[in-house]
Amino acid sequence: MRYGMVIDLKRCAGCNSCTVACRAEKGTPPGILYHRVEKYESGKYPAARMQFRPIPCMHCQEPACLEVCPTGATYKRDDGIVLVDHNKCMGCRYCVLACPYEARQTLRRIDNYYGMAARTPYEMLKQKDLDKGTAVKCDFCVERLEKGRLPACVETCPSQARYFGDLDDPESEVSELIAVNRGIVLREELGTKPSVYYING
Amino acid sequence: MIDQTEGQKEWGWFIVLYVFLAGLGGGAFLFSFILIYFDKYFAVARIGALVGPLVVLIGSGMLLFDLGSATRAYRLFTTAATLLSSWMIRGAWILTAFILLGLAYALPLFSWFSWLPWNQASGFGQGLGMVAALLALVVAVYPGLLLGVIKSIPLWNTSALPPLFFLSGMDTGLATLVLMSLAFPSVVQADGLHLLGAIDAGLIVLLLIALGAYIEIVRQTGVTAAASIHLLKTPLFIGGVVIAGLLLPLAIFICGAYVSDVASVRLMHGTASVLILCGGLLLRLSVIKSGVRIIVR
Repeated sequence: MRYGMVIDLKRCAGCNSCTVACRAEKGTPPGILYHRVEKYESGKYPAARMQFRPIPCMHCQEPACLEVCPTGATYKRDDGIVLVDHNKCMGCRYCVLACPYEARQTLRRIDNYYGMAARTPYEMLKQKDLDKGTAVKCDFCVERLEKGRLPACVETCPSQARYFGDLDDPESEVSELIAVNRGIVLREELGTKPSVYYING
Repeated sequence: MIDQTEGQKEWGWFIVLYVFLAGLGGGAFLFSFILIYFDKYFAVARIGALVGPLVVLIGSGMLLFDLGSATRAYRLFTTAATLLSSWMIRGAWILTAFILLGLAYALPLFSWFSWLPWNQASGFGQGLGMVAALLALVVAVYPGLLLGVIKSIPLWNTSALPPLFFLSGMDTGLATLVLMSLAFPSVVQADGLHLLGAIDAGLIVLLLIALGAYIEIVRQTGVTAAASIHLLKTPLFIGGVVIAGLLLPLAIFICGAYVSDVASVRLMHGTASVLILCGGLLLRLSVIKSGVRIIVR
């Protein structure tokens, strides 16, 4: 069992619904994004194009973040999901630097939105496990997976560009998509073996 | 196309100071140990042997400040399994061992601690010193490894970095010894200053080779690395590190070799040593601040 994601860039319109869904699901404070959409230009006029690449945590099989973590706070579950134990993280930010995908951030402070004096009850509930100064990242929505649901970004995507499933099962939807469309991973040369695949447009 | 030309923002001044102080402390201890071993300038060398571990201790303190919450630092020592993978925890143990063994070697050099059952002349004391000197080498190399294994930052991810930091650590350590020797005019006279100056000049030549090779190799590594080098080559780097921190002290040491007037030699070597220390700090600052991350997509 290895959870993985396939993102079909032919279908991605760069709407950032995934980013917003993630933020709502995780209740992240201002400045903290577990998911982002990189926007870049390719080609030259008159064939120039605006392209988008959504970037969650790659949940690598050989995570660079796990390798450098000195306290064992970063760990990989048997299902391939890479998580941070906030009770073990000491805030050295080595992993934030080491991740080639910039999937991790340091939770420097927890601010309130819109200049509000206090956090909302929703934020307090969602942020109860956060510890200032530690590393935070996408966790493939483990709490939703446990209830049999899909990660928030996958469920939300209005153009259905995202697929989620078991990469170890050759007959799963994600495995077939990767095989048929020649899915690629980012920065393959670094040997991190990501579990997030892209189908290039 | 390079469109990501910002250096990393995660590690800042605390790490810069740590990398600087670790090299300086390791270098100061190593040279002091060698001087004590050959029974030269004992009055200065024993202070250097004490200052080395203390400076590394202060440097390690910078790492604690960097955590933001020093109360979390104990988590570093709660697991041993990460020793197999993480250079940070290996470094933490190396620093701890060096500080303890270095102090254990240095303290009996002072009469206050003559009650300790060993000293630098006893077999145990000398063993302590040798192990601590070996660890001092590692302490000076280790910051280069800490940064060097981060493959997302090509400016750091090169085998040319540890030798650079190591040589600069030795250089700044020796400069510290030279500065301290100025306080003992009767112990270290013109010939002593000439000797230390000659060793330091040799180190500077090696450092120039290491720095030149480092910059040229990184420049040819790829677009991100080239962007890092572009960021690195500020007037502060060229003026502060290369000219004021390396070329000028080298010229002073070479000229100093032909000056026999003690007062002039003291002034020249003192100036050169201060310049070396400033240059060493600026080198760390430049390398750490200019670390551009690879483009994700």
